[in-house]
Amino acid sequence: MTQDATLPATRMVPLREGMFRMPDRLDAPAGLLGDRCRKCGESFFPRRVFCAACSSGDMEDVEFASTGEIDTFTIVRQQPPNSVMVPPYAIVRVKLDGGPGVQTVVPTEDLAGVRIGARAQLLIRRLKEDDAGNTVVSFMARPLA
Amino acid sequence: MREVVVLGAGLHRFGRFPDKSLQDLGREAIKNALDDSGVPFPDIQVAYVGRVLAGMGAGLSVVSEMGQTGIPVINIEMACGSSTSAFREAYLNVANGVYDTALVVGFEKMQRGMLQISEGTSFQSVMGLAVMPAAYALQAQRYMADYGATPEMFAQVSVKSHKAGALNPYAQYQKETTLEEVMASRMIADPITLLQCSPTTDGASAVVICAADKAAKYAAKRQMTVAGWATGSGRYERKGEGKGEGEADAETGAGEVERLAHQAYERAGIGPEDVDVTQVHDAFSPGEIFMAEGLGLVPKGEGARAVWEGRTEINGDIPINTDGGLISRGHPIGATGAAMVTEIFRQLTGEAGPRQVKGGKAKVGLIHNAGIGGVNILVFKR
Repeated sequence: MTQDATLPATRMVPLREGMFRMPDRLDAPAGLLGDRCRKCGESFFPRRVFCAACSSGDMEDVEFASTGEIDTFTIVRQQPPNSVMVPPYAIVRVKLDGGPGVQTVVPTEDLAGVRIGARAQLLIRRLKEDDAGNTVVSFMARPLA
Repeated sequence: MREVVVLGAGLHRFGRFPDKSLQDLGREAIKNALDDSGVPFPDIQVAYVGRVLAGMGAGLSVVSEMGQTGIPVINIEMACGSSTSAFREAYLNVANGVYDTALVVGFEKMQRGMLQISEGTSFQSVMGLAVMPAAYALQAQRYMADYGATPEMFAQVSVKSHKAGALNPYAQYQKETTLEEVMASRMIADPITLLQCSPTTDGASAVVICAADKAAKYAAKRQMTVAGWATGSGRYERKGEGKGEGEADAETGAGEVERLAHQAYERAGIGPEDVDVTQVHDAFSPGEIFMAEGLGLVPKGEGARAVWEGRTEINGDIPINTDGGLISRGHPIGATGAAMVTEIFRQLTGEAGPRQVKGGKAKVGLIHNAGIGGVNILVFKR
């Protein structure tokens, strides 16, 4: 029997609760959970309690599209403190389709195709294993060919 | 509001001084500034201290080295913009008649390595998103795509900066470098190489200010007037126009600088065409280019070319960071802002020696100093 590589070996837990809809397997599209101001329409990720644009507290939860366009990028070549990402990796700013711009990372193996204007898919990826042996996941981008 | 003048300024050399304490660094800078101003320490009525990484009460422990005169010592923190924030508070309180004399101090001792800009357990830190050079690099990549600038043009900022630093006895790096060396140094975050990053630095800076109508008794040989100021934090830009987590980016955002520079120019009754010499926050090389544009010294999209053509050098028509800037003078974060004031003071009083711009006839100096969360603009006139 072949092992499905997208099934985590241990229980999947999010890096931070409430940032994205938890799928049951790795590499699934990442639906980011943010919110939108009912008063002025501005949308945010992560969620805000008060709107950054108009300070209204009348916010509604939204799940954003998991695809978008790379607005800009850089390749990080030096290990930053406290990060589990291993250089070289990219930091990209992705303008989500119909949603806000978000910053995320592209791991080494997906760097080909990272460029301004490229389409990108947000995926739930393995970040690390925590002390309890859980598979900690978060959202990362992958350029679409 | 009353007119306020700068009477003196001084530094402890910027560099790495593992055997010196904050008190050692700060005492020397304050002593130099007091001597430069002719104001004895007992005449100082208040001290505003910009510092970031030191523990609680650090400001008092440094200032009281000069004597325990009972004055208020006010600690101020705005990351890399801390000591221009301290300067602004000192200026406003003297201008409004609360005090006649004030001492502005900045100091810092830093660990080597990349600055940690977010709590270690935040999702941005864990995911490798909290990377300061990357914040500049993201904008630099976009700038290259929009305006056809090249990585060499950013690297040239560092070449120019080192050339100025070589003329500054207080700079951390006093050695020139070549474009080839800058380009060949280790890549940190494309297109920014190691020699395009400000270093970690130990250092201290101090400035003495006084109400203009109280300055006569100090027989100051020379002075400069605080002509304008503006300060603010990042304003949210709508519709996710690239603002990653729905936050404004005041440190690298030229848009924020435009708004604040306009305010400062208005208060000073000048325009960018009147500026003779400028200090900007080049924590990373793109900073000089973005800020030259944000301050209106060159049109949008022409900053990289201006650097490439030598216009921002000491002998250029828009001299910027004549002391080596953050990249070569060094960037002890809390001390940087008051060091910028110190260099403008030297330039406007004609005492900048080999770094002197415009044959000693510079009349207007401009400062842009930013920290995570905010921007300070200051305008000075001779």
